[in-house]
Formats: sequence, C-alpha cells, structure tokens
Amino acid sequence: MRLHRSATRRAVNWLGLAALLLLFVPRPAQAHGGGVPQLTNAEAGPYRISVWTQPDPIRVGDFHVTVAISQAPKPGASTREAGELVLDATVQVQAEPVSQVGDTLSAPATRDNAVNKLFYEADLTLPADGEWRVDIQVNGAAGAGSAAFKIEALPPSPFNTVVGFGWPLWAGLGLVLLVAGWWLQTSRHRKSEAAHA
Amino acid sequence: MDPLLSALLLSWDLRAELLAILILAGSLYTWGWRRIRGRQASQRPLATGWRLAAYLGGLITLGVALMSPIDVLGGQLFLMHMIQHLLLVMIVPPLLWLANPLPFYMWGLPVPARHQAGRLLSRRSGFRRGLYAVTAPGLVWMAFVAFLLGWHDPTAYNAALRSDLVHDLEHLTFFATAMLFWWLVIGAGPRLRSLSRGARLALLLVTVPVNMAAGVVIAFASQPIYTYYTTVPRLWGITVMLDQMIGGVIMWIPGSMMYLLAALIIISRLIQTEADKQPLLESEWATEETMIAPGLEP
Repeated sequence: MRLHRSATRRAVNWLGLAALLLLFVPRPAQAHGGGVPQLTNAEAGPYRISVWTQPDPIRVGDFHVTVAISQAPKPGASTREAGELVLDATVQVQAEPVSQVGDTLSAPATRDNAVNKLFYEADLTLPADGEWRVDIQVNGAAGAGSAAFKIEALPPSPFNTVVGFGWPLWAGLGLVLLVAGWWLQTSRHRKSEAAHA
Repeated sequence: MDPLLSALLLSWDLRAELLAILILAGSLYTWGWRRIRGRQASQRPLATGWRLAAYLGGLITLGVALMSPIDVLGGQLFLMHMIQHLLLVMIVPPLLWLANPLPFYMWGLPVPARHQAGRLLSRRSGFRRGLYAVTAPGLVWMAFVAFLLGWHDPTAYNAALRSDLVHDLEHLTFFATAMLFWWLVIGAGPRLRSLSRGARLALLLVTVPVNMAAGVVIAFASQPIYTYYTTVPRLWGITVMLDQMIGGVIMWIPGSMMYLLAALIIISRLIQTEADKQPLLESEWATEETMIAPGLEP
C-alpha cells in the first residue's frame, strides 16, 4: 500500500514536471519586428515603407510580415522631421503566386498584431512553393500608396514538419518516456521488496 | 502623451515560458526564505530582508530586460540592445548571487525533492563533478569573454537581429556565462571552488580591459558596424552613427564601472580583514632578539 502511494506520488511529480517542461517548449516563430529586410525605405506614395519577413528561408506554411511606415521626407526637412513614423494607417498585405496558378492571399497588417507597437504585422500561410509577389498597400491621412517585392518560397523541410508539430509530438514522446521511467522504477522497487521478503 | 512614446510603452513581449520560469524561481525562493526565517537563530540570520529583495529585484530586472520595451526596441536602437545586455550580464547575475539562492531553493522544495537535489550536490555525484569541471576560473573567464566579444561580431549580431531563435541563443549564452562568472566572483553557495579574494579581484580586473576595448572600438567606429540598424526606421532623430556611439559608450563606461565597483568592494573587504586582525602583544615583538634581527628570531 505504501509502495503504491509513493509510486503514485512519484508519477504525479513526473507528470507535473512534464507539464512544466511543456511550458518551456519554444513557441512557433513569433517575430517581434526582426526578420529579413525585404524593403528598406521604399517609396509608397506619400510614405516610405520598410518590410521584414520571417522565417528565413521562407518555406511553404507560416509567413510573417512586419511593416514600418514613415512619412516621406519633406524637401529641406531636418533629420528629426524626416521619416516620422505613421501609426494610424490601414495596411493590407497581399501575396500572389507568380510562377504558378493559385489564389491571391490577403491579410490586414495591424499594430494590434505586433509586439512592437510602432510596426504593423500580418500572418499568412503560403500554400505552395515557388515565386510569390508580395504587395503592401497603405492607406492613411496623407493618402494611399503601395510597394511590392518578390520572395521565393521553398518546399516544407522535414525538420520544419517535426518542429511544426513540436507540441503534440514532443509532449507525447516525453510522456511515453516518463511513463516508461516510472514503470521501470516501480518494477525495480517491487523486485527489491520481493527479494527482501 | 506623445503617440510614439505611448506606442513604445505598450510594446511588451510577455512570453509564457519566461514568465513561468520567473514565477517558479520567485515562488521557490520566497517559500524557502519563509521557512528558513521561521526557524533561524537570531544571531547572523540567513533569511534577511535584503536577500529577498535582491533576489526578487534580480528576477524583476531579468523580466524587464527580456520582455519590456527595452527588448522590443533593441531591434531598432543599438543603445537599447546594449542596455539590455548590461542588465543581463552585469546587474541580474550579481543580484541573484548576492541573495545566496541555494539554501532557499533547497528549503523551498518538498522533502523528497530536497533529498534528490542534495544527492545531486553530494561529493560523489557526477553532476557535481561536471559542474566542478566547467567552473574552472580560467575556463569560465574564457567562455564569458568569448561570448561577450563573439556576439558583438557584426555577422553574429546581425544574425541575432534577423532571427528570434538566434537572438534567444545570444541572450541565453550571455546570461549563462555571466552567471558562472559572477558565481565565482561573489562566492555564493554551493561553493565548489573557493577562490581567494585576490583571485576574485584578478578575475574582475582582467575583464575590464576586454569590455573597455570592445566599447571603445564600437563607440569610435567611423561607419555603421551593425548594418541591420540601417534598415530600420530611426526614432527621435537618432542617427545610426549616433546610436552606435552611445551604445559603445554604454558598454565602455557603465559596463566597466560594474567590474570596478565589484573590485572596490573586494579591496575594501581585504582591507577590513587586515584591520580586524588583533595586533601582536608587545611582549611578542619587543624582545631583544626580534629587535636585533626581525623575522630571524628563534
């Protein structure tokens, strides 16, 4: 009875530890303003926009876009005035396949989505590999503008698939190992107790 | 309020895994502190208020460094990234070690887990032997300096700004090696290696020139070293070069000051120890033999 209670307690401890460890498993890539620069101060009507993307390299699946919008510098303006960040624009990100036939993807980039509240961020899911044209459309008090760039999406890598399914896969594996460890420990205890008896 | 400033103040990256670690560490320490405080003798108490304050202050500073606008802005301003590194390497580790966390962690654990942890640190355990091997002062210093300089290489630094994973790795290695470095300097438990005060002083003083040199090189560079910052919008009119210069100065002066401050504390302790020594009785040194040939008396 005592063995049973201590084994249960140990199992609960192990499960608790496993649950705790799950918290430390890295989340899926969630950029906060970083990434590969695609556009730097590109002209977009009355604005200048900078765009970064993640992951690197870009693959089929999650595609994260970060956009910074600043006002176009006025002629003769001081450095401080030039390129002041625009925080009240409406931004739309569109991704259109170039090298193959497919639907155009579209998502709003918002500051609510962003960790860095000076930027606008959007998440898209690329369904196919190949070349894509990404169009950033900006609407604000100063008017409308857009800028575009091209990206090459690679096929999904097997490693990414494993990492992408990380939560259930690793959690399942961890649980199996913990249960196996617990079973081994209790059976060893039982054997030693039987030997003593 | 300025919309730019209010947007910045809202830029917090609250990460579940970090919050969980901070809450767990804080709860464990506080629980152990309360238990020890309830049992300790009144003379030379272990669970003092300043220790708890140092520990919780260290954890809060760690949280601020990794999740506040300081972290978020590090991608836009080099000087913010340097402030973040300063907190991670020179403020948080000394605060955590000054709190002497080991006994409080042990008392914060349930009894079976405390026994397990105790076994890990027993003289025969492989874990302790491994820990002893990796905390050789020369090795710790080399690792600390290698990561400090290595991550300031433009390629590595730009890679950290491009990828969150590399960025996390940068902070993890900075923090881990800084913890080992300050563990030796402060000499908190478990005392696997008890360094003399002279050795601790030497460890601090040989680090100053390295840190200073890196700061000076960055501050006086004639062109942008970390080109990633040329691709991000500038804030408050701070140009890339001005940002780089201020960042270099932060690394050079406040960064080096922390080592020198710790060195001064150790020197004052050395002097205090000498001052506390009881003077020899006159009868022991004022003998005729001693006066004729000091040090050679029978």
